Amino acid sequence: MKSTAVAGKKLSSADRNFLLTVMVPACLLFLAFTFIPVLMSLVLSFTQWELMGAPKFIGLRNYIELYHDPLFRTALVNTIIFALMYVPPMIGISLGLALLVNRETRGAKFFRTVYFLPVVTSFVVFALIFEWIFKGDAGSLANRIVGLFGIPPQTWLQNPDQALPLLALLGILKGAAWNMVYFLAGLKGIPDVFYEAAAIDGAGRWKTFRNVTLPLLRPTMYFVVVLTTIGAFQVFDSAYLLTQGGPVNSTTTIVYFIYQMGFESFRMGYASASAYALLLLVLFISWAQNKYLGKEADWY
Amino acid sequence: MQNVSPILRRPRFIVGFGLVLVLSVAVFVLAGCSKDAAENVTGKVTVRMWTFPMLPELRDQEIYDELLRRFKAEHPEIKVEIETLPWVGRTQKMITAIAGNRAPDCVYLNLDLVAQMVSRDALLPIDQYLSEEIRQDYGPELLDSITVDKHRYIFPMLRTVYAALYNRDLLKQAGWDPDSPPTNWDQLADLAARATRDIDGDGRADQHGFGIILGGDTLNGSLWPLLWQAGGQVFSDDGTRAAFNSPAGVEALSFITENFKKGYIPHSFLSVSGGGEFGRGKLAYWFGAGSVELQGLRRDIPDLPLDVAPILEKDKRIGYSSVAGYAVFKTSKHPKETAIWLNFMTRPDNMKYFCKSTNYFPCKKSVGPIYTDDPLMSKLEAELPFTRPDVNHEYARQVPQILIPEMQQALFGQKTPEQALKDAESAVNAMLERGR
Amino acid sequence: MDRYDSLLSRLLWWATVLIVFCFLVGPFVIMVAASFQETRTYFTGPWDWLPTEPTWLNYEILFSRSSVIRWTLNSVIVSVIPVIGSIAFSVLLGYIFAKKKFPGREVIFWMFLASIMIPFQVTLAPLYLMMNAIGWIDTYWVLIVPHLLNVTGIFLMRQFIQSIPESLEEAAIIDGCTPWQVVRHVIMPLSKTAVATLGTLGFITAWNNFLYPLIFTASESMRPLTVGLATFADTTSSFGINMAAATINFLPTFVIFLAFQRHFVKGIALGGMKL
Repeated sequence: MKSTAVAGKKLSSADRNFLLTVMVPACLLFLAFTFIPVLMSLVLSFTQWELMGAPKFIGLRNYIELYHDPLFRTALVNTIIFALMYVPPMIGISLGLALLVNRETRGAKFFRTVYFLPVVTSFVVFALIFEWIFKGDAGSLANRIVGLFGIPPQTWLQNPDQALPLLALLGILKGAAWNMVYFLAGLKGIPDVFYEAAAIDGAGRWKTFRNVTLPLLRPTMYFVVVLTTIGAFQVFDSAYLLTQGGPVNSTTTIVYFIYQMGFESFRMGYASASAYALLLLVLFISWAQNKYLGKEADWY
Repeated sequence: MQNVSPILRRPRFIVGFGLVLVLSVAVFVLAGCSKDAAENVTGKVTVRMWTFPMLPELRDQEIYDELLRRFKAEHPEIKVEIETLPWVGRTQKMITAIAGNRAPDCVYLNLDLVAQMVSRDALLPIDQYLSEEIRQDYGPELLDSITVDKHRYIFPMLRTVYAALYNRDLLKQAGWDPDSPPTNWDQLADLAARATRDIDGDGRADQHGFGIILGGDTLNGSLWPLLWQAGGQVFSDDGTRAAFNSPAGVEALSFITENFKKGYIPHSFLSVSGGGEFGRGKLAYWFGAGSVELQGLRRDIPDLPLDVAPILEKDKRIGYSSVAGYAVFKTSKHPKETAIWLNFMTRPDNMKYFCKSTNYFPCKKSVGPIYTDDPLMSKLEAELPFTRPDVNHEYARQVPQILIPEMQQALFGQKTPEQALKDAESAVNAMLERGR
Repeated sequence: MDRYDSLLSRLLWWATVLIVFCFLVGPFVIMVAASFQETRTYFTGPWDWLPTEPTWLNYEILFSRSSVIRWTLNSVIVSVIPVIGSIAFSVLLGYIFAKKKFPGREVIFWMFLASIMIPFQVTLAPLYLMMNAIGWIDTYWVLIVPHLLNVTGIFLMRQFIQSIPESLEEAAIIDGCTPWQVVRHVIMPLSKTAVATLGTLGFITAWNNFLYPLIFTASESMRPLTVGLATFADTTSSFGINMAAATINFLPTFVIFLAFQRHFVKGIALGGMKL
């Protein structure tokens, strides 16, 4: 039976009461503390506001300037490249980790616990150690490792071509375990009967994964993909802590740009306009993801 | 595993409910406590001040306790509340507080932020609280540097010096007398050439001549001092145009790019956390390092053969020293009492106590040298007359945002120094145009 | 998936698991180890961060010079209450968005989702002005109420509840269950794993929040642990103290994870299915 069956049904009065009692307070909370500030920043995007004094209405000027701003274009390109380097490996690795420790042996339980440690380790510590590993001098750990393969020492975070991929790597190391937890929860939600059926059919491990695990994991997959994408487009901390947008603006991401405009140049209106440009982009991508991944589960 | 029916799990719901109840009670009790404390002080004027940690381990608290104790003895009618905020997120915190009209009476501020805050009409002019005697003690040069639109906005407290540090052993190794470090650009270039070495023979230098910060968000410790030494300036005299694209500017940037391309400057200096090489004894000379670096290195690597080098000379011998002090917010309801407190804090005896405890240099001349017992700090103190404070301009902090990426393009050979300065100049002029 | 027989595959499993272990756990080990080191700054590297003579000094300084206890209590209050609230809302709204069809459902859901696509840096100032206008700055309200609704949590629960078979819900309705009872007796037990995940990760997010409480609190006594501990980081940043602070901050989140961990155990999630 497909879930669309419900669509035809009319809501009973109990359902209506239930909906109202839940939705009204939820929507009020949402309106008050999320929607209104978001709406206010939309209004601000049409103004010139330096955070002190009153905003001045300037129409579409911020958006027009944004369109011609080479730094914003750089930030946009950097962010898209970052997302491409970050999202697919992140999904693959975190799913891999989840599969790796999704069993009930004592070893798996132990590693499941320790793999969670990066999630609760401070990001600053993570960044510091990462920075140390990828120091530009010949003696750094990373350079010694690539040296084993005959590659000359690299300057890593100080190299305009390497800095952005390294930030993606840092994000994956820090965040993989976070998504692993979501995937673990998703895997636990798959009823054993399906695996038993697959075993009876004589399916191998790969086949079981392709035909049972992956399709049944789709709701979780959709959730993780959407959130990881949103996270990728909002990358800020690592660029702020490690590279300050450099070298040569190679790690200036959109949110870093927004931060610079808003809180270093005090141009809140312009920063808001950039945020809405970002929203349009992410909304479009999420909509596309919804088309391909967002279908409701239909396995019963 | 436990296969529990819903009813059996009800006790846990009760536990959860109890937890919420206990927490809610805690909320109200705690909220009540803090309110009582605030209401106790009616009848007295309360001055609120924000400051940021200057010493590790929150040891600042002892300094303020002592200052407050001294102040209470003289001014029992004024109560001062000092709050130490984290450095991280301080701009967001300050700006939102101003926007929401919840700023304290006064705040610790670096000079480079003052002009920007003044242009947004956030600070109160304090000229009337600076007596003739106080003005003379600061001296005309320092007063000039804190003047924005003919007014003064901070009570200057402390200065730092950005001179240079060097490694005595590496100088000796490079054939230099460790007691006479470089004093001009040519000497520095010569030292750099000799001190840069490939020790392990892999074809790449693993010991470098000198370091100069080439990233981050400020040029105060790098390009600006070189520009001033070559006789240039950042803005035109009337402040309406950029002036760094000059022969002096080209000379300064070329000096950096040439040494960078020759491999004398380690790449790690492209980020603000450069300096690791110096700590590991792999860097001969650290341009722009000062008291903060000195204190950190002495604490962590006591056996490093480290010394202080004089500020370099080209056409002029001039370096950078930051100035910081306390500004009064326009929204303050007790500007008079706030000024009494700040004048007390910056009184020579208290200034001496504060600066000595926090390892900074005092702003007032009558305090005199305070590090006579510490040879290295004393050497830095002797460089103070050869320094100047921040560029005093509303957009002083935005110029590096534009210029640093251009400078980095010159370093990587994507642009000539001339082209980089020219592109930065037109971007800065466009910004100045928009701001007017 | 649990049947691992051959020696080779077992070896392969251990090899992979150990390599990942080094990558992910190294920073954590350094964090804890360095907290027992007297002081070291960024001038040195991880080998120097490992203590030669372990000392409790950093912890003594933290506990004697600051209100760590008060800050921890604040953190507990502003993490636990929002997490309980957001779990309730997430389960209920997740159920509604997954199973109830009504006009505007998709629009509301996408508005919720779109709201987290706007970076916090931009909504910060408007939100501050709003909170200021209603007098909530520096109160527990500002730290609790806006976080009762957690869009990520709603989204997560929606995805999980979508995969709960319609038949179970229908059976309950035929038995005369109200929607509340359906949530309580069908949805909740079947999505225990998701709720545990949501609780753990939500708690950690709330606990580690820094910029929000920094800006929306004013007095020292209102600060949560993250903000309070950050005042220990001076300009030159004493590494040992910072790591001790990070370790103190880490402990509660890890305890929560361990406590919820048992709910990630297989067999509970769809226990009802097998009946």
